[in-house]
Amino acid sequence: MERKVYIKALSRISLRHPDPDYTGMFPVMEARRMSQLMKRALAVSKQALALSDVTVPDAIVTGTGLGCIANTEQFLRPLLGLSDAPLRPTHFMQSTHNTISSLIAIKLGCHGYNATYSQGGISFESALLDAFLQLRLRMVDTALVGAFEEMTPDYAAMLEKTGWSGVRTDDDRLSETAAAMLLTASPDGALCELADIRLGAEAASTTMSCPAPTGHLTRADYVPLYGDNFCVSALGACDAVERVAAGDCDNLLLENDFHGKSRSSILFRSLCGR
Amino acid sequence: MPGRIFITGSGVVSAIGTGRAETLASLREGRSGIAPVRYLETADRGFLLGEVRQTDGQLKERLGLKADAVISRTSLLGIVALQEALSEAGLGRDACAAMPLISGTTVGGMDQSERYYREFLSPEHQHDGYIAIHDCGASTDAIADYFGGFTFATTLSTACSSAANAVILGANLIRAGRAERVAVGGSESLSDFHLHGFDSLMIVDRQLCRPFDRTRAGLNLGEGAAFLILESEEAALQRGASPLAVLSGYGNACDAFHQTASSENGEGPFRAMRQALTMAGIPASAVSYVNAHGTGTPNNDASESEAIRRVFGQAYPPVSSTKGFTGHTTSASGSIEAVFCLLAMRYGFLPANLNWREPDPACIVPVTELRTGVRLDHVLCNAFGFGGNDSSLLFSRFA
Repeated sequence: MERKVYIKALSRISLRHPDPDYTGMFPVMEARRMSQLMKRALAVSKQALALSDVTVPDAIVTGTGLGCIANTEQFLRPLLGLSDAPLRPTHFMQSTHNTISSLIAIKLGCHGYNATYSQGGISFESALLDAFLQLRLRMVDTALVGAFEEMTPDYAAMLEKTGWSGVRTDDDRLSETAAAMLLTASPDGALCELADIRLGAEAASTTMSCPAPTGHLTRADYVPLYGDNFCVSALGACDAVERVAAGDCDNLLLENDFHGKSRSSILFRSLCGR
Repeated sequence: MPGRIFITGSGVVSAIGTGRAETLASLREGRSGIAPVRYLETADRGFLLGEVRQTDGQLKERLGLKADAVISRTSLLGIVALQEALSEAGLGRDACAAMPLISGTTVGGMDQSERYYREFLSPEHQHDGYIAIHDCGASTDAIADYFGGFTFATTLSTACSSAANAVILGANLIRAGRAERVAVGGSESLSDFHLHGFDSLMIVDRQLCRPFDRTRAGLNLGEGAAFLILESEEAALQRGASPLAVLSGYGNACDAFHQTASSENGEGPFRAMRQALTMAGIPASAVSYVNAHGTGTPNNDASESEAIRRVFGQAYPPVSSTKGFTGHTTSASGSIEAVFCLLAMRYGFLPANLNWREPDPACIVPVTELRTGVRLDHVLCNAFGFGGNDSSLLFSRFA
């Protein structure tokens, strides 16, 4: 019998959820080497864990569309002669997509499962699917799932050139995401159940375990609130969890149709009256 | 737990050949594909690389794509490998439309981005199409599109263990009843960005790499792709597919030590290998061969050796690193070397660890010459990445 999966806690930084005060959060020398995204990732991860009373999760799974793009650019520019700065190994070291997930593991001393997904607008959902499967298969009891995205002026300008719809408008301006969720196999103190998650062609199928959800959230709901980036659906997921936890609806379907390129759907179920 | 997971197809491209036949011949003849830079656009020609000996244009022509098709080398190599895997498994476009594609990459479209980056930032529009294919996911999407699309495509990016982790997600999808079959693997092309990145960390050897040798001084970078078709036992038997081997175990653990260095006691690799054995329910003594990650860097090889000793004791099974053939194919190494393991199992040989001369007390002593006529029942394949993302896959003979 497959187990159920629950969401115990969440934490995020977005256009509407400001950065915490990072002073004293990290040793000074270390903080100097850390990008803003790395600081955010550690902050939301630590908060989600603290709210869950979990010290070290069994798994850390991360989604990011572009990875550490700021560090990537800092290494690329001098390489292409666009900057006189020297090629710094730290920039390369911290440019790989899995930098964040491994940094969290190093900070937590977590030797458990660790993976990073980079699949455009469904990077977060890919990470969530991985953790969901492992919880169902009893491979892990807890999993920290994160979604981390940064945006640089250069990359924004490049996306604008490709005609990413609405980049220029204020409603879906390009933005950044840092979100973390703690998944557990135990319903005790959980916010809601993560009932199902489907990617791609399966997202549209009727195989979802709930054909008629009472609540519904789409990009049209959360992009105007949080701006647009590859991981913004994670912020939509946070809202979905909070709505279900507040008893707004019995179940809620979160749909992500990302610029016509990729799709996903996630079903959250209320624990009220359970 | 449901039935076993079968491997019913495999495809590979690397510096030692396009396809299984060329690859097998190179492995058996001890023919390395590492040579001075020939195809990569880089100002510094002093590097030795494991390049796939075809230009982008030649790859496009081979695949029937237009010369001006906007596609990364990562995708091109991936398509070549996946095509062979699907063909061996006897699967066509209809089958693709009913199964997921999971790939691993880190370079993604960087090979093109570094070429056109100046234009990207200028008012010029000629190569803007390449902007949208920069990210890792886009390189997998392009592979999927070539075959008419899959149920979904996703991409692992855990540096040099990416492809191994793609295999693990695929297996979990089958075990959870989410898919009957999946295409899993990885693809990585060389880029100036990554070459200079590794070089800036001072882990690139300008001589041939010498995994586990006392004088080893770093890695040679390589490129390539490989895919496997995984199927549930039930689904494979139902359609009469013959299994090449069984994926009997796998492990993923984090060294949680340093962003680019490996721990002295090899904690991550140790845990990954142990998990794979535990899942398969076999003792360490049953393993017939270990295809090591063995990059040739002083740090990796010592750490991996310690982990192998911790898992197997002093009587460890034959071990070799095939990086001396292909160079380090980074994100694709996990699946490329998995195909090497399947070939070794099928044809009964142990690939040699090229360029090894002097023992290092800190390291295991690898298999230095080709051994033939051996029966391999259980083969362990290691892939470890930056950030301590360590994974191990266990393949067993189908019986």
